[in-house]
Amino acid sequence: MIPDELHLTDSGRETLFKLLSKGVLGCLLLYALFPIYWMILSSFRTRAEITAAEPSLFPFTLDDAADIVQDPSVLPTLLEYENYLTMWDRFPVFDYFVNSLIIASVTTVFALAVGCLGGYAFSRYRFPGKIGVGGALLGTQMIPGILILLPMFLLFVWIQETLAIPLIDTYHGIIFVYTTFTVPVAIWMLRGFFDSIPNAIEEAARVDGCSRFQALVRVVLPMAAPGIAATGMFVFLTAFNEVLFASVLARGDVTPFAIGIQSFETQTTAYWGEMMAASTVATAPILILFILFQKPIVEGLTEGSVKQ
Amino acid sequence: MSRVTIENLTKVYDSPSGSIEAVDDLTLAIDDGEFVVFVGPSGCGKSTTLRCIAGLETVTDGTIEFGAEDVTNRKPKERDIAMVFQNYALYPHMTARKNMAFGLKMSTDLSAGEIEDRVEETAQMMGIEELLADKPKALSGGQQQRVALGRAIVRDPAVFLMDEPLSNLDAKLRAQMRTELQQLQHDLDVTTVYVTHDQTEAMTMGDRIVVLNDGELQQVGTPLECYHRPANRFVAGFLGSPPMNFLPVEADLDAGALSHPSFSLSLSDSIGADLDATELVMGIRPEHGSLTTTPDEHPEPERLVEATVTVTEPMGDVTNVYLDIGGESVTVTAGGHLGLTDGESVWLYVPEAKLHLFDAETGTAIKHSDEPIESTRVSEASRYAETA
Repeated sequence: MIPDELHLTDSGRETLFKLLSKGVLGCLLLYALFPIYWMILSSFRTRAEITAAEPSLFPFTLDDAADIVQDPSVLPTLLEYENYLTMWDRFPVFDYFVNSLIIASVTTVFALAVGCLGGYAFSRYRFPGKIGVGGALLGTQMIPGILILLPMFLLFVWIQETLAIPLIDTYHGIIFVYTTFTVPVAIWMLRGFFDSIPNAIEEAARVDGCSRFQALVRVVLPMAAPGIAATGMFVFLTAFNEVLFASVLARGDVTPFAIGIQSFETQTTAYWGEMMAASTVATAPILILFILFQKPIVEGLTEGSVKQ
Repeated sequence: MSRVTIENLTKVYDSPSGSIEAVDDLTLAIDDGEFVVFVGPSGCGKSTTLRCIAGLETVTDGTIEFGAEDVTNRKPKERDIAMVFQNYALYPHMTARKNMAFGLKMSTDLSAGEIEDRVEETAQMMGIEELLADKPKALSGGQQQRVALGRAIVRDPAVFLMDEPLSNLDAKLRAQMRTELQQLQHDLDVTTVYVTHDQTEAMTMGDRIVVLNDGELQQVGTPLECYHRPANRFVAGFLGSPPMNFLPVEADLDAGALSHPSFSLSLSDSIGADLDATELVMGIRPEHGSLTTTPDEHPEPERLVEATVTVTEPMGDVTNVYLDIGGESVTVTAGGHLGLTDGESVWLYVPEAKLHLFDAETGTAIKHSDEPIESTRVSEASRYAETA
């Protein structure tokens, strides 16, 4: 017999479950956020602090922290923000960032434009070879990028030589590559979102005087906005974070941030502090953008439009 | 407003497993301002026909005309129609006002002010002025329904198409909207095609009903015509709740009687003369049978059929009595509380005038009941006179 006091009541069990799940979530969060914390922390440290044998886990000593609590205005004097000033002089951080932004944004626009039309066609139309084409699109995602890298490079060289269209180390070249890679995923993601939009709403629009294309633009796309935002985020991130193809096909004037940041590590020295500061600066706008986009994604897709 | 003429409409769907004929050679004329209800079981082709009229489906064969114009191959937006969908299909990202204005904006060159006026006017008529600023998800099912109707009405179209618009409402609201829709259609006088699988809606709302089964037209007529003069066994069995009872019988013309293994009913000469088949199906509406426990006192004891009560369902005003006659189930709707117990023996009386007879092979009607079909009132009165 278990003594009565050891039995958990229903509400007790619920509380325990909540605590446990919060604990697990907390661990996962810590795991995900620690590198970002470390990036920001290191960006405010000197070389000596970063390369110390036993780096401190915290930004301040206890004494410093006490001082800050007493008088917050001392905070700037305790922060080592030298890195944020020197990184601009030492490396073209701004150019890298702008390059990344251009490449990722244009890729997103192209991938969404093609993805919306393609995803819509897959969702609404029956056409010969639909299953085959759909499968082939998915299949492209199974091939590791490294396998295509060399053929792609050779193809670029060949086009450059025979057609005189420069592709290597150009915006349009790398955007073309990224668009090619992200369109299949965009089509599949958007197809799923379009599938969840009832046909009747589109038919209502057509009866109300829209052509099919107008119904797509005026009714289907606005309803798919959360899906389009999610797909756009995915495409943007993929293009923004890509290293492999950029390292071969996008150097020189179009070097994106993910590649440019490697130049902080030279043969003689590694500018860790500057690298972390640059990373922090590059991450911030993206993070803000994504926090803004979270709402439409979380909001229900077709809530209230159709009675199921 | 417009007359709708459908000629030899055929719609075939091709699928990997073969082609499906959803609508088979349907010909029908709907008068200007008429309220026509398409009714039939699932998959009978009623919705497909409606969608062909709307232009949402391409027609395999045949023509559809609005007035004198052939619209068979026109796009939906070129047909001057408005449609109400089963699930309302409101645009979720627009307010009720924008939902209603959308069609006018897309299909007319009215100014923003004129559109606004018409939306306000329609909203007032529908009693939804307060809802105009809300988005669909903030509205209840009934309110969404009203906005969807308003969106159709504001267009002032040549033809209204309604695809089971009431089937998502709860029973009480449905009954209320049924009356309201009829009233609206009457006031607006716009040709309306209404699809439903609900026979109550079919019976109560339409000027005429079109009964479809398996893509084929079964009967077109006023509700009472279809109910009391069904063209065939399908229509007879589909309309009415509880449905008509069917018993296989043989016509014994020499003896002038209908014979069933467990009973025999004499036939008048006038009816017997019309019969050319011997294998028949006898149809009795549940409300046309009456029950007695004292056969000796009945004025026509030779027309009584002995039966056993299997189940009784007292509904309050009437009682549905399920009988067993020679292994076949027969339902009778009798007035009030009968005090019958399960297993009891009773005698069923069916006046010859109320009998329906169908050809057993083709299902075609041979004889109908003599119920008048001009007015509900007379029919109800005679029904109560019968049971009294």
